[in-house]
Amino acid sequence: MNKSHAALRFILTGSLLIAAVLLSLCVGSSGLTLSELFSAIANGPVDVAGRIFWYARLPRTAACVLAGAALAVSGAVIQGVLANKLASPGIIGVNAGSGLAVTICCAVGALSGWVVAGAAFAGALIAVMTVVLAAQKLRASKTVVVLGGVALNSCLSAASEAITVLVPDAGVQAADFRMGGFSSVAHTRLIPAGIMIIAALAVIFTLLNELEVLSLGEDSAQGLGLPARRMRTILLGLAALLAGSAVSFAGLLGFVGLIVPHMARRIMPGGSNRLIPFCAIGGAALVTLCDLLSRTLFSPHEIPAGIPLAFIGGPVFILLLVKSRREESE
Amino acid sequence: MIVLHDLCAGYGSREILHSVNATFENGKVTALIGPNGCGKSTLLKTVVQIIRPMSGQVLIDGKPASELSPIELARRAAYLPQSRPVPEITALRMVLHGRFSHLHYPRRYRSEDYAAAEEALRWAGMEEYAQQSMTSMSGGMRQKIYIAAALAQDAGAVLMDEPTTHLDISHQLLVLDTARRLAEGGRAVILVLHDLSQALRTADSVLLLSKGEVAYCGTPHDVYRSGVLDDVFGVHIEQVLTRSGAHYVCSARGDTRSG
Repeated sequence: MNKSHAALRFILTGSLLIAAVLLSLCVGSSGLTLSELFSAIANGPVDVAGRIFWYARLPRTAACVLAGAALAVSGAVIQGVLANKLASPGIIGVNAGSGLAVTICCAVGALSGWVVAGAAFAGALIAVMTVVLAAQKLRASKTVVVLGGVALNSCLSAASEAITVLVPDAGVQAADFRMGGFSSVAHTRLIPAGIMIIAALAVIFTLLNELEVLSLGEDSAQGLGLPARRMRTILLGLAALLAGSAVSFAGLLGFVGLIVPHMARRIMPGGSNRLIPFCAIGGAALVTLCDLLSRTLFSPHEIPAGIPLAFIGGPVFILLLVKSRREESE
Repeated sequence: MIVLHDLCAGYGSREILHSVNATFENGKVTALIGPNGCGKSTLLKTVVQIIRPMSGQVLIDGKPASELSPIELARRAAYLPQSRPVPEITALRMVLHGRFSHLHYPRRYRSEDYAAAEEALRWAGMEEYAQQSMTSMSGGMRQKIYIAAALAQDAGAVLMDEPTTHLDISHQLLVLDTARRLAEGGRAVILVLHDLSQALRTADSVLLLSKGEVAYCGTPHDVYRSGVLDDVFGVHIEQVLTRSGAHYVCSARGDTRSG
């Protein structure tokens, strides 16, 4: 794909994200007009519209954008590093690892934003490194890596459930957390996690060539001068930081890390230098739109954003699998 | 030039290569041959330090490979592994990654890197496929792209592990011709080859491995004359002189049809 085609697709997806953000800021139980929105931005939380914008809509929309970008990029990085398109933070236990860490934090009453985000990162990192080291030790195939990740996912989710049953206070907003949602996003959790996400994205954007070289295979990468194992650990650590930070405030949004990289590869074929930024924009747009659906479909009731995401993501993913299967056989 | 001194290497505690001594000279194509499991791939991986030697030394341009950083090593020796995932990138991006070792963090390919990659594609006769995805190419085309990347890497030595496997005969010959041209550019080229007659016909020098040890090292003619090939492979090899040079015919021992 030439540069102008790529630029056009970036512009279209970027426009979709801007539209999603504007809608997310304006639409809700109390709608804001564009003039109210701009007045709220200019004047601060001085009236009702200003307070709705600054205390409800802005944190929620920022959370959607940050979580979508973080989970989609995390998925693309994990898939690139493991050279496995089925790997994603939701499937190989990375989200479940951070979910367990967040549940433990809630159970022991450690509710500071930095503590929760840090614990979620640690949980994600332990999960991803467990899968990778076990795969390395056993020289496991790609399928076995995914199956091992699924098993780890189940164990970690079961541990979270057990804690929630034993310490009911740990399961506050349990449905929203298990499916992933933004109805209870608080500044205290969003700001530390947001800083970690922006920092991790900034570092990953400087390592796009390294990621692409690593996806050529460990031996090829080493032959080209990349210290492959060290770089793999760094990139998986950054992917865990992204996924863990997102889970700490958005819960277990499962599908983003799997379907967005798959969709992005079809829309924006080529290397990581296009794929990763495209995943960030596409993931942010998808999650923001799904959150919008989650609070407008059954208004005044609200469902977790993970539900429309799964309803859209599932069929889209199956469609992508069927299409790529057809193309392979042609 | 690459020199191996008493090199022992393997996986875990299992030693595959036992005290290997060899020299790979610049400007020459060396064929690395031997039965399956004799340590050919292990030798290449040890040269580029993907596998660390158990003992002995690898010298690249007089410097111990173990003391070179991955970047310094890649600037001296390009390595094309036997198998690898096919990347979903264009041929130009693939060749551009040959320039990876010439950059430092944060790596952004410069205009001179693009120029070197385009030149390497032209050299390999693949410039018209620059924007084609690697996934839509045949095995032979991909192999030429990998070789172009090795050229763009601008290393003094190029190590290729079974570059002709799974290719049809015309692509095999093209790949071997490309390897020859790399050597003519002053590089030390090491090829792991399974086809004995192809190896004897293509190489300037042959290193024959058997059970992790050097069974013979010399020119193709010397190796053939020594009779060691027959013993190591358990076959009968015969030289046939034609107008285009010496050809080698292999047959099972006791099979008299070729004799």
